[in-house]
Amino acid sequence: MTEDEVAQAYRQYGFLVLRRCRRILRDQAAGEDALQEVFVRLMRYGRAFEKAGSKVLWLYRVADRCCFDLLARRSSRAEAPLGEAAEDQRAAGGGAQAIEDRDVVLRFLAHFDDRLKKVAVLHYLDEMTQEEIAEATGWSRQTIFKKLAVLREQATALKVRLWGGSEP
Amino acid sequence: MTGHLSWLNLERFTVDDLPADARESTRGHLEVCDECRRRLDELERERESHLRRFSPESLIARIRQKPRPFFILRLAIGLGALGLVAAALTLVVFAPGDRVRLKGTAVAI
Repeated sequence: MTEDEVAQAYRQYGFLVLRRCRRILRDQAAGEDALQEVFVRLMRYGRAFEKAGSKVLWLYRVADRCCFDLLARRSSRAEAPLGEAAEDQRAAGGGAQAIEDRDVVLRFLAHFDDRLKKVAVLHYLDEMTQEEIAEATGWSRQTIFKKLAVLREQATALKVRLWGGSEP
Repeated sequence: MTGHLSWLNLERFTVDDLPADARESTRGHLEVCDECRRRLDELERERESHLRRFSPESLIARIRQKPRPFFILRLAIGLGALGLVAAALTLVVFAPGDRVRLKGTAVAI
């Protein structure tokens, strides 16, 4: 793609890409890095973007990949198992406010494998139903059901670890 | 999922990325749902503030500064190859002559 075409796509979709990256990474600066990376890839692989039925979904797929890569780099720099990360989070405060599975899963996204990350983002960020996730990923509904069950189990375990015996 | 439009649906609606039937049903829902209209307004505000903060020109400038794909890998391979050639040349120029071993010592002939 030419620079002008990339600039045009950025004008139209940039804010959505930044919004998504920021929500996945939970960090403004990291979100901006990911945003830039998405548009670098758009410049390189623009032909696929032009052919895409939904420009937003194409950009979101690339954004998810960039964010997952950043999360992996971030967690390999400061590797902490899920349990330890939860302890750190508790030590940092946060209290026993009414926190939802969604908040816990997105906060600890870096600790899940890529497939779980993808399902987590589609379900908790995009608010897709199981059927929609199955359609978007090409995986069976059974697979999505199982992965969502794993995510809920992990969220419950994390909440217990963070806020004690009973769920907040 | 909650009786409201999903964020994804609203995000696609703001940039006219939905198929025609989904666009119409979204528009219909927005006419009767205050919460979804509030979310849509939030997205519109984000769009405006984003373009004020991050212009397309600054993005393009930053992309230009970024190294091309595999540039660093190619550079490393190139430098490695150069190092190997230099080492080989050094060996050829400064190689010791044939040696004959005599009871554990080496003597150059």
